Amino acid sequence: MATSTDTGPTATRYIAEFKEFLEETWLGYALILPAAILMSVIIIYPTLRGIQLAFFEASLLNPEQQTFVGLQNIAQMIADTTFREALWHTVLLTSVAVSLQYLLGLGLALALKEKVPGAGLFRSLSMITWVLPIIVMVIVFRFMTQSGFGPVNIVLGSLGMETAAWFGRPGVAFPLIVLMHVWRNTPFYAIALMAAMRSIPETQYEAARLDGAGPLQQFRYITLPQISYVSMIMIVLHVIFTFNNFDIVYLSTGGGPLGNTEVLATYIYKQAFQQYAMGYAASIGVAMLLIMMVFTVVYASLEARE
Amino acid sequence: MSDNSSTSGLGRRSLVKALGIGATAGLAGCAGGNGAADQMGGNGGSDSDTETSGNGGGDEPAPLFWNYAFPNDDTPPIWRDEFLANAEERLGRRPRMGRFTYEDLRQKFLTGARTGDPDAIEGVLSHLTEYVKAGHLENLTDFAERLEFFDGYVESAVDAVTYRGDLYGLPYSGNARALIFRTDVLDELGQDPPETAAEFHEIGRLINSEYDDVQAYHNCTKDGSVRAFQEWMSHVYQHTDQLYVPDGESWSLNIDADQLGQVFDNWYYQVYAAEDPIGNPDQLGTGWQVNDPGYLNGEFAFIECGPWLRGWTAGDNVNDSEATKQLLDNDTGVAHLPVGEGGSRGSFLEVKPVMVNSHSDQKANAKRTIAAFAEPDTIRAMGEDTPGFAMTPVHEDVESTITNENWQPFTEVFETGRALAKIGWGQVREPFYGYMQEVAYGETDPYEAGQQFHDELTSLESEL
Repeated sequence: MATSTDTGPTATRYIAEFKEFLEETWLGYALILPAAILMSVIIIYPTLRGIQLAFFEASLLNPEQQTFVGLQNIAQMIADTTFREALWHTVLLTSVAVSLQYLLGLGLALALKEKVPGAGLFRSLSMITWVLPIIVMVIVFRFMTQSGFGPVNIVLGSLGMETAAWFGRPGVAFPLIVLMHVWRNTPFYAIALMAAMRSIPETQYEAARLDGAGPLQQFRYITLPQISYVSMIMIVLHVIFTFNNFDIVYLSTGGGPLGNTEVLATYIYKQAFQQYAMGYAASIGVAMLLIMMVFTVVYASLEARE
Repeated sequence: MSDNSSTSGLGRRSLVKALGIGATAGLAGCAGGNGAADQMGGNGGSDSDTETSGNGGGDEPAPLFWNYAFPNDDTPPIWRDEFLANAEERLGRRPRMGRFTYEDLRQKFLTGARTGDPDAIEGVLSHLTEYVKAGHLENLTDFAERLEFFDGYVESAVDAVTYRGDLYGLPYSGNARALIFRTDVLDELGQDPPETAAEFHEIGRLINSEYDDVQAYHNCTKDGSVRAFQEWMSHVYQHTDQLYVPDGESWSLNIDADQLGQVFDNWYYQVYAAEDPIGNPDQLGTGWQVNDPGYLNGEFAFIECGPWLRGWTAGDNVNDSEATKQLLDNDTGVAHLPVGEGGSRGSFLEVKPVMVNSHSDQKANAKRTIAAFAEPDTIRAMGEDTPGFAMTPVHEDVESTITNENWQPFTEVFETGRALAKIGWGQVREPFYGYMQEVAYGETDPYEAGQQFHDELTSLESEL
């Protein structure tokens, strides 16, 4: 009897808690439903449509007339030397630009964390490069490297060095594209990493110093592990942004000179809007999506292991 | 309990992380640029300002008209005001307008015309062909023939907007590309304007040897530059009336490989890659942004250009407004483009049309809108506002805005202009940039490039 008396209230409590949990959960589902539907419409549908289109031959001018070609677009892509060059340029641009951005941003964040003069001003001004419209940034860079009256050439000329329209020079155009990415994004890395560093309790550094840890060890064992999550987010996002980047390359060089700066995004654009080859362009888009997904999964599993 | 919480917290964190990663990976297919929507808005120098200038009106909204025509500067909007007044007279209200660059207009219309918006659109000739092939343009033949001013259009302008016997646009502006040259430089050297490519190269080399601060010639070599394509087409038209001619339901290439090679040789190899180039190889890979301002600032002795240069005497690209005025008023001449061996006079004819969306649900109003835009009164106002646009008017009721006799030859050059054949030009343009740059950068022999390009153009015959 005593047992049944004890079990009754306990069961009632569990049922009540379960009901509450259900109510809370369903409320949660209900709240995220509009966003989920919106995401489905603007992300899932176009992605699935793009994947489907990759197996068809379709013209931009008559997109409703589609012919199923199976894996023909994939075979064409594998045999396409311009695609392979564009893929190489994309990978190179992404790895070099993101590495430089991260390293420079980290260095800048470490410097700003210390009480250096002008740090406050830098923090206020640093986002300018990131919020500046890309077209404005490209015009500024093109003007600076303009043959004749560009400031870069004026300086080079006054030093007796070679001058040129540098965006038109094979071998120089690509590093300039990397430079634009780095110039634009490094301050953003610095601000994000500095914010992560500031959330680390000072007591941890004090304890480390008492244990005899030097600055390098403090960085290795305290700072780095605790900024790794922000680092991962920054790197994953910027790898995706850089890998997909179209506007910086297209506006500054159009993919030239001599295809030296052709990347997958500009190549897709040319296939879709110049050659009208929507199916082939979609198949390259699917290849980009797969590469990014592989990258993301590998990176996420590495992060989880840590 | 503590352990459970921590496990659960980790699980949620991992879940949120996984969802975040999934979303970002998903965005890989959708996002470009650096993520922010406003940055994407900056692509291609997009310049949109949709406005509603409603003035009364009925139940349906005023027709939407997309254009890139009206000047976007601080000068009084004479042309735009005249158009709006004429449109109001024809429609009973003012159309809504959106302003985009031509490249943006093309992309947005090709991908979104089926929604019915915009109702009317302005563009360039190659757009008209693409829109017709995509089924986005309304046949205007019957409507145009009923217009009170239709008979006054210049025949070549009407032909340019006609496809297989039907009219798909109303022309409002036209020009052809001419050789613009420094009369003071040629006078000083005792030279006449060159008529052949060989004379042009000779005079160009003479200029380079005599002047330190003036380069003989510049043309556009940037990958994807529309102007570069138009310059190349001008020289192609010196060898053939049309690059492609109709062949039943298909098209046939109408030029020899040698002729393509000669164009590459005369206008790219000799200009940039030869031992004594007449252009400056350091300016390879540049477009109109260097070409036109370069001439206006006195850097080049020759360029190929349309009449819009005439009124360009101020702005960010002009270093010294007074010097540029002097240059354009007194020291500039206009001539036919020098002709290559075996060729004859010819030039790229640019005709700009206004068109009606075939998917629009108010086609009648859209037609009235384009009629208001292309009628002589509006064209006259265009000439008053932007004289360079009406130096070679497409309507006989509009007088040419040429007031300086040095610029008079544009009228003759206009008569040699040839409009683009009605094919999808994207497939021709794309390989052109590759071969042109290979020649200009000295990577490929011009005649070898001509042969390869010829083979590629031939393979496109059935796809155009």
